[in-house]
Amino acid sequence: MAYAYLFKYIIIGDTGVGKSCLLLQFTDKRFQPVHDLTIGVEFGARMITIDGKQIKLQIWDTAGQESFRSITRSYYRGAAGALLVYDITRRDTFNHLTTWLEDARQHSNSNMVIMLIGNKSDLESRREVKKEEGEAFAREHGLIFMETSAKTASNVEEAFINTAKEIYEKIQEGVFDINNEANGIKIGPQHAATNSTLSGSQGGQQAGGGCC
Amino acid sequence: MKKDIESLILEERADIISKYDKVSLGLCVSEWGIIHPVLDAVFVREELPTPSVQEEKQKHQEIERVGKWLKMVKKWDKYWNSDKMVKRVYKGIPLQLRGQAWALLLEIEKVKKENSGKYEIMKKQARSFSTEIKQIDLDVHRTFRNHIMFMDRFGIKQQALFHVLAAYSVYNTEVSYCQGMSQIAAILLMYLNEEDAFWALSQLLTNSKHAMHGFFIPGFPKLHRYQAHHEQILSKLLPKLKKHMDKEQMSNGIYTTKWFLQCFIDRTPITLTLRLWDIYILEGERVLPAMAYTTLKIHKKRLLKLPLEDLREFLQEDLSKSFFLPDDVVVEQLQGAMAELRKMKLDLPSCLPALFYAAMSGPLSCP
Repeated sequence: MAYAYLFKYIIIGDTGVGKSCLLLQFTDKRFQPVHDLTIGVEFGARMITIDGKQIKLQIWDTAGQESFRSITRSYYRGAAGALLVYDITRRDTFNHLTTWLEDARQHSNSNMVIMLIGNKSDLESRREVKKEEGEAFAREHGLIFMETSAKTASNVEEAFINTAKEIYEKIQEGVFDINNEANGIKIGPQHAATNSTLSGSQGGQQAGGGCC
Repeated sequence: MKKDIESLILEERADIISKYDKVSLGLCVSEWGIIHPVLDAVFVREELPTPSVQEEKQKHQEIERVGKWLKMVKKWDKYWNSDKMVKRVYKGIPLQLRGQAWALLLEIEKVKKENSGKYEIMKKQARSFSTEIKQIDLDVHRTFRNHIMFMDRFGIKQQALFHVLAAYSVYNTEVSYCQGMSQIAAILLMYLNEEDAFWALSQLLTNSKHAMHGFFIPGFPKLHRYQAHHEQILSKLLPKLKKHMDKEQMSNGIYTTKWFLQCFIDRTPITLTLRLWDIYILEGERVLPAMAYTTLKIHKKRLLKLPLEDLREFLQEDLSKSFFLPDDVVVEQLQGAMAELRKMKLDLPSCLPALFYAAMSGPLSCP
């Protein structure tokens, strides 16, 4: 399908926090209580609309076990957005955020938009990390923050779409070099086509119908 | 404060371990030795297939094969490494005898004898010293959960899986536990008892035929070596497909990781996976590049038409549901591919790239 832009995302975070479930909920609108183990990397894609433009999100999902970082790291660099996920019912997954963030910042391009996600918000009774703690961490490190539930789909759309909005704004501001695919942004065929028709019609006007 | 965290961690760990100690009150999962007449019956499916003529024929064949295999395992010394035995493995080991055959092929009795009592010691040591208890617990929770043996949370087969992996994590400290190993241990546990599965896992990781150790140690040197080799096979034998996949940015690191790390578990329908595992246990690592090549070769025409997302869906999802060809045909093609690659001296990666990776990432095993 034609799109104006393609944004590449990467989903990172400790093992078992629900990275693959978030992706599945976003791309397929369903929840799998027991998701297969992600070994290495996987990916999914979905089209969204921002500012009337079709944007394709290509999302790379990674294995959470530390030993796999040597493989998944190579996918950081080509990403425009990152979802850094922890599990609100497991304090240790929150404690590891600093390491994840350092790793991401070190191996990605500096403009990458990072969204911090506290997942499993449906498990309120087992909560170990307060929402305020997530907010504070995000504030401190300049991240966007949301609590989500891949199970109930709460905030899942918003998490992916708000990240895209932020990237889109950065493009408008000229922060991203969209001609460099290594930034995780690709101009789609549709956009290219629109541009050429535009310039074509402008050209036509200037020529004043001289072609006839 | 520090002590508090430490004691919390210890508490959590003891809590996890105790869950796998309880006598299972849930579904009584098959005791060892139960014969499942139709393999699919042990998987939960949304709809039951009606038996076809083909399946009836297969069932008949299976009964015949059981007789032949019974004779063969009784006189294993005579048949070991004979053409007849090899041929029969390629035809598929009857599931009633699969465990026994795998144990013989992997020389489980021998290692067990050499390491008498070791498994129990490792199992005990794991309780105090394994650093991977939490990870293993998380992964047991999502390993083969659609299989009746592993469906019951903390059920007896989940307990066995947990204990095998925990024991192994303290037995082979270089690898400890790495994701991907849980699927392998689980497939072994479908046909072997707990201790035998432990030694089977150990053999697969460290014997020279399989040497999976290099797939799971930090840096994954063997995986990189196999992926580079796969790339070489593609450019020599499937150049058009390689060009297409390159254009779509479908790098082989995306789709071959599970193929190589766990010998096609999760990536082919289970009946075919088990056939591949029979052959893998017999032949060892040379099955991996050949099956990777076979898969792409069989489906080349379709793959050439697919964009990136569809390539992913086809290779990762569609093929795990149906391979679009009968298992026997796939195995035949695999045999052909193994011969073809051997003739071209492409059956195994050379050690040169391995040395290159060694320079980059440290220790490795290269046969």
